[in-house]
Amino acid sequence: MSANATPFFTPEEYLDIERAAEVKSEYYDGQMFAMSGGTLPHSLIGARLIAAVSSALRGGRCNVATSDLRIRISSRGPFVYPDLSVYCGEPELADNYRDTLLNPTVVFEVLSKSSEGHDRGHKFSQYRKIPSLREYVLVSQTEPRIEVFLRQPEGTWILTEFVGMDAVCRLASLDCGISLGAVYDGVGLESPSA
Amino acid sequence: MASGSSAHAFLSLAIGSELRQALRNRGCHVGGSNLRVRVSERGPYFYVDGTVTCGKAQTAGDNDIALNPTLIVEVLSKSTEAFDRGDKFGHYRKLESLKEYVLVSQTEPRVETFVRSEDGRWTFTEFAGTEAICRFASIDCDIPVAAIYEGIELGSA
Repeated sequence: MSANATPFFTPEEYLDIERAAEVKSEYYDGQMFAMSGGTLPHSLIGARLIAAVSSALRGGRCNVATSDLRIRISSRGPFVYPDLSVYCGEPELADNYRDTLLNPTVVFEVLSKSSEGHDRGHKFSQYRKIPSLREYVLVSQTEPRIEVFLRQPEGTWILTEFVGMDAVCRLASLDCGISLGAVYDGVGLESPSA
Repeated sequence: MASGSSAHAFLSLAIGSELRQALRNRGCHVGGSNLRVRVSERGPYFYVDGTVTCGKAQTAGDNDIALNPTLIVEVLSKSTEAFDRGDKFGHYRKLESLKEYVLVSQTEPRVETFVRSEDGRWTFTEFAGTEAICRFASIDCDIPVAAIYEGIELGSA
């Protein structure tokens, strides 16, 4: 989320503007925040995640969507674009434009220095309000490390960390594993300052 | 280290004093923000906003470095939130003594806890709003969110 906040918009105004816009913006509390582009490692990691998760889910009832798909957290917002989302069964969409998903099972965010605090803090607190969401996955771009938050029946979340090229990230809600080697091999990782 | 806002200072002391009161006669010590925590012999060293150490406290340096905290408190601020939630927590997880990591918001009445379970995983729980009661499982202690935030004017950062 960047500092270029706009005047107040209703969710309907946001969607009208967003559907005609050339640049994606997220929407929180009546304000639009333009999304910046990612680094090369961010993009490569995102692409490999899509390949690895799609491959693991092939033939099942769950589907992977890219960061083009907007997610609505409630009818008043926020509206966000995760780096990757997975929904299972029928997609629930906000309206006939078929561009806003309501029922993700898993969302992935590739961390970057500028958005890490937001992704771990406020954005996660918003994602937790989505009843269908079972797992929240944070993917480092400075080292081979994936953190998974898995929702428990009583409303708490269990954090499991997968570190190293030999690790396999277990996604319990999808009953699949993602090899960190497949996600990170050949990606020139960002230095921690990036 | 940047100095904190007044809300940051008030909240650090408030949660520390509530913890001290709740833990009286329980064999635990509550430390304030002038104590450093050492993660390993090679470091890193961090100033924390609060600690609880149960059992015999081990220290190093000039008796000002805590080695075996049971619980660590950080009051969040905008400039350090990513670090507190990310890499700093990653370092703290390597501290074998640590059973619970507590994050205190200074923009709204909200306390988050991460509790280590037997299998080494961490359970995250959020206690939000002045009606909520924080459960600090590692030290078997309950403190109302309202008691921590009572009389403190919250900041915007």
